[in-house]
Amino acid sequence: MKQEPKHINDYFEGKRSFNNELKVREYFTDDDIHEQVDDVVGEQWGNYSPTEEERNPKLKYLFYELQYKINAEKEQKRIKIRKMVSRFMQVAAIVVPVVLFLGYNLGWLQGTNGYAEQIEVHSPPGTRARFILPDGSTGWMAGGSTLKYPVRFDGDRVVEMAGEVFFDVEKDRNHPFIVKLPDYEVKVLGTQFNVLNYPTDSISEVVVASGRVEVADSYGTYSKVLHPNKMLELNKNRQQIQISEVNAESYTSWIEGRLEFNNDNLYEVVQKIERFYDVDVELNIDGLEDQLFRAKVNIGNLRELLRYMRLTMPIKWSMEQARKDNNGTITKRKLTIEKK
Amino acid sequence: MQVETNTDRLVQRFREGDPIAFEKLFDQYSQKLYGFVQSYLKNIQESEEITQDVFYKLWINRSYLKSDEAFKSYLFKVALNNIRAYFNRKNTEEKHKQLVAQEFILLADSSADEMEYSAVMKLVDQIIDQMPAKRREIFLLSRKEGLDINEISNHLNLSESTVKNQLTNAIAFLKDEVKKNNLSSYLFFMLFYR
Repeated sequence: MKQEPKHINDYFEGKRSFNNELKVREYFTDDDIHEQVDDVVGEQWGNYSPTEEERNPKLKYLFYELQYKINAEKEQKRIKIRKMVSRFMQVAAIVVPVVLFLGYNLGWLQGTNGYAEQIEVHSPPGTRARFILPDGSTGWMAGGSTLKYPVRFDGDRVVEMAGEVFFDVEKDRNHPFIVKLPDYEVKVLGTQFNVLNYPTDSISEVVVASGRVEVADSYGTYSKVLHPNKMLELNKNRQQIQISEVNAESYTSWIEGRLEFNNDNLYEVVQKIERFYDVDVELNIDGLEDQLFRAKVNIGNLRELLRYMRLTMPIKWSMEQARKDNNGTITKRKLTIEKK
Repeated sequence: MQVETNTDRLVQRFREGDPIAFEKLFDQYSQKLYGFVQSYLKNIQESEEITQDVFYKLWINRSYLKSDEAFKSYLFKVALNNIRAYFNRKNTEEKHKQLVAQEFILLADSSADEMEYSAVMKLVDQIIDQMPAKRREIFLLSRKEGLDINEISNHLNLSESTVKNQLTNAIAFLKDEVKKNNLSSYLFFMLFYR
């Protein structure tokens, strides 16, 4: 691959022989040398400035066209939101009284007046959702996750969750932020961290991106302080914990729409696929249980991910489209991954 | 240094959704972006579309662009992705012509290696266009769509032997044309007198 900078640079300078064109196209479309090509082209980009005749006086019109497009989309969105709000209001009209009623009753039973109503949000599988909490803390929920928090924080900031959630917590020394989970709780003052705890998984994990995080179990048998790039894993069946050094970014990249696989085995890969692509997966991979997979992909293009998998592992796959059966129930699309 | 802080402030305003900052950033980067993409594509319309698409994506994802550096590297990344996609698409569209060129023209005339790609493609187009309609259709189904003889015969409702014959004829025709045309002079002509 020593040749490629020369071919690409020749091409950039305008050398378009049949052979050179084929070579350059091959380089650009070959995933294995993606990064090398990026470097070569990046250097060209750094050194490039357009000559007078390369400039295009029409470009400004492209901008006006774009502005028009953006404004038109904004208008569309406004209409959509208006529709959604009115639908939300209908739903809210039914749900809110129930919650308030429950809240009131519980408060009364517990003999406290400070009982705040809880809000519960869900993100459907195959989506990501951003949220903002009453204290200004923000974060992202991965597909199939649930987050519960009070309308107003009073004292400690306590939330509950299931699934995978990334928290970016506002600093407030006097009011710890606590994530309550069935097996343990995570306590912080102001940090960024990722919690993964799907009820159906036997492994639960906390990864710290910045700041300091305390993890303690409900029975008081352990209490650990975690620093950035540390991960605590809990095996729920055995109630065993393990702390390891990780690259936090590869656990939080999903919030930016990227998925990273760092030597994940096929089961772990499939779990992520099910969550981030809203698809049911069937695995028939006798003997490939220990195959490890590394990749970075953009969430959204499942075929690209499958192509990488097929390049690195002896597997084949097939996809069955989503269907509606006679009862009107919709089955998800189904992906089958098999040994080749 | 002065310039850099200015861009930083621009990017920050852009991130907050300021349309004037957006326009200024467009003015600052669009010519470079367009010129660069055009150096690769040599296709004005496609390069304009890519330029617009890059700025559209920058706008949509502006909240993630936390610094001048992030803005610039995202701009380059989207441009490069677009160039890649263009090459991918072109390769799919032109694969069969590349193969015809390699199989018939370049074997017949080794100096054609250095001929300009677009000239070679044009020549292949011209030769294929000279085939009788049915033969051309069968040839393209085989080479471009990748269908086998059985699939073509089902698709066109012809017998397999007819399809086979037409394909044999198409290949003989290509070989003849290449010989007849004294290609290297033809290609030189295309190269210098277009």
